[in-house]
Amino acid sequence: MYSVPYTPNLPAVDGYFIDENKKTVYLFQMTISRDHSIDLENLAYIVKTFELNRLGFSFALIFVVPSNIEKYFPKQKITGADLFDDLSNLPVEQIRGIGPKSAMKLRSSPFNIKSKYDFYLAAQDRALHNQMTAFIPKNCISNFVIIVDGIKEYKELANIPQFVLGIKVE
Amino acid sequence: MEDQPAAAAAVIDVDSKLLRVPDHFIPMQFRYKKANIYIRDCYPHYFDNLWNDLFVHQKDSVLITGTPGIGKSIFYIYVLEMMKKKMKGSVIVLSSFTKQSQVKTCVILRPGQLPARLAEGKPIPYVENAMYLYNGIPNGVKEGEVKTVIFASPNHDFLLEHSKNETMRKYYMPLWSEREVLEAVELLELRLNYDDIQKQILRFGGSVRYILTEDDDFRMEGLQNQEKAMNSIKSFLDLEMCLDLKKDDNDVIHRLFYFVPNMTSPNKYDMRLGSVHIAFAVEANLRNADVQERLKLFRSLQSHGQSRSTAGWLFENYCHGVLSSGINAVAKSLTAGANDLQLEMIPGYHRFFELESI
Repeated sequence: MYSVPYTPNLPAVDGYFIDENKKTVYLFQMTISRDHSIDLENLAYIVKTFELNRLGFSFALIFVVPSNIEKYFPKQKITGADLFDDLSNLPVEQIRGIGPKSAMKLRSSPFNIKSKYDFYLAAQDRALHNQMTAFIPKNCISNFVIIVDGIKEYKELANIPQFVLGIKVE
Repeated sequence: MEDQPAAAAAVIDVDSKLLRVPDHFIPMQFRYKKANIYIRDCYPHYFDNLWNDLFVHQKDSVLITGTPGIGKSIFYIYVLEMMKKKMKGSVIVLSSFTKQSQVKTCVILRPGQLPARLAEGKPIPYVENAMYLYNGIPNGVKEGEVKTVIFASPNHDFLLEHSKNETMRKYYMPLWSEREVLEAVELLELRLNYDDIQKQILRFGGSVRYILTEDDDFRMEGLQNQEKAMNSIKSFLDLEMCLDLKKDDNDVIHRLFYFVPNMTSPNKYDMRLGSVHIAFAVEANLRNADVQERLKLFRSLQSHGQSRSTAGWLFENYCHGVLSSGINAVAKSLTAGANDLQLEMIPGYHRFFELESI
């Protein structure tokens, strides 16, 4: 059945359809623009949260566009495709929901968390996790872990096959 | 007369994200009561732009406008402090105005003197080479050797009156990003929690008047006004009138549609439904409306190249309808050499949310 996920703050896909016969999960992104890059973090979050992974199924990203631009619609960029490799180089304050004051606390003892990767590791440590929740919202920690796990688990998303479907608006 | 320290005593640290509000009285449409303001990323850029317009391009005035509730009046405080720094030795005239463009209060800052508050009913004086900073739409702009910056919500009549005024530059301020909201809450030490803020962002989008408040009654008032505005949209024609700024009630337009400035030319804007909550509610109101009317409005927006966000929203919801009705079509591969995809979808629709849950 065609489904519309609810991820208002993480725009990645507007709808999806699981084709049991073709063992494919179609992810739909509607756009009227010829330039519509997709964020890998958001893609991973959707796949993980809505449990779209099925054994032996593959993914396809379909851009749904007005038919008059279908012909000219180019392959889109997947941003953050090298995100997991870069996690240790990305500062912790780039995590959604962590402000400058919280980042300062994280950087100091006992956390010594400087990068996104440090934060990911700390989130798996029960004692550190509990201490962090004193000043960082629980949802902020759990969402970040979901995203990183998603990226680790679905490496193929970085190279997801892309298609374009034109819809008549006349 | 205000018996407060002179204007020059105000502390500015433009490198930090907070700016201390000066101790002296500042005429404002709505009083700002916190000790600090949060400096948004856009403030220094907008200030540079307006400074260049006034003193390099020799414009007489600049209008800083945008969606109500995004903090134009806060930016007015920032500009005031920057002007004090950059225009040492100059007179700065501050004035606020009522909705009917009547002077509310006026204060004159003269170098080395205490701020002077103008008596009620007295007209704003002309001071040569002064900088006039207005909070609200004035009943007129001083002509002559003066510069004026106006901070006000978009007023259709005023914008129309000055649409051909080459000496006035207009800027639309950007909506707040989620990161800015969370950063402001943290730095201003507001008693708001993360989950509530997320909820309020869904309701109010990037206009923060009702998000960065600790007053629940005030927020409730905002929600009620929003509800009323959403209920007034019953057809695509209503929507079109809002986009053309022709809806009688300016407030309805501003509560539903937010102004998104063009990144490269912030004097131009796109109009989009303000928040996830507004977009869902308006879509729910239009669910049974004629689909041809939707497409007509979409095509009209497309051909005029205006309100692209709204056009995108109209298209997205149209596509949900098409895809959920079932489809048998070919999706073309965007990867060279790869096969196209034969899509066969049975009719059916599932949505993971209801409007009431937002």
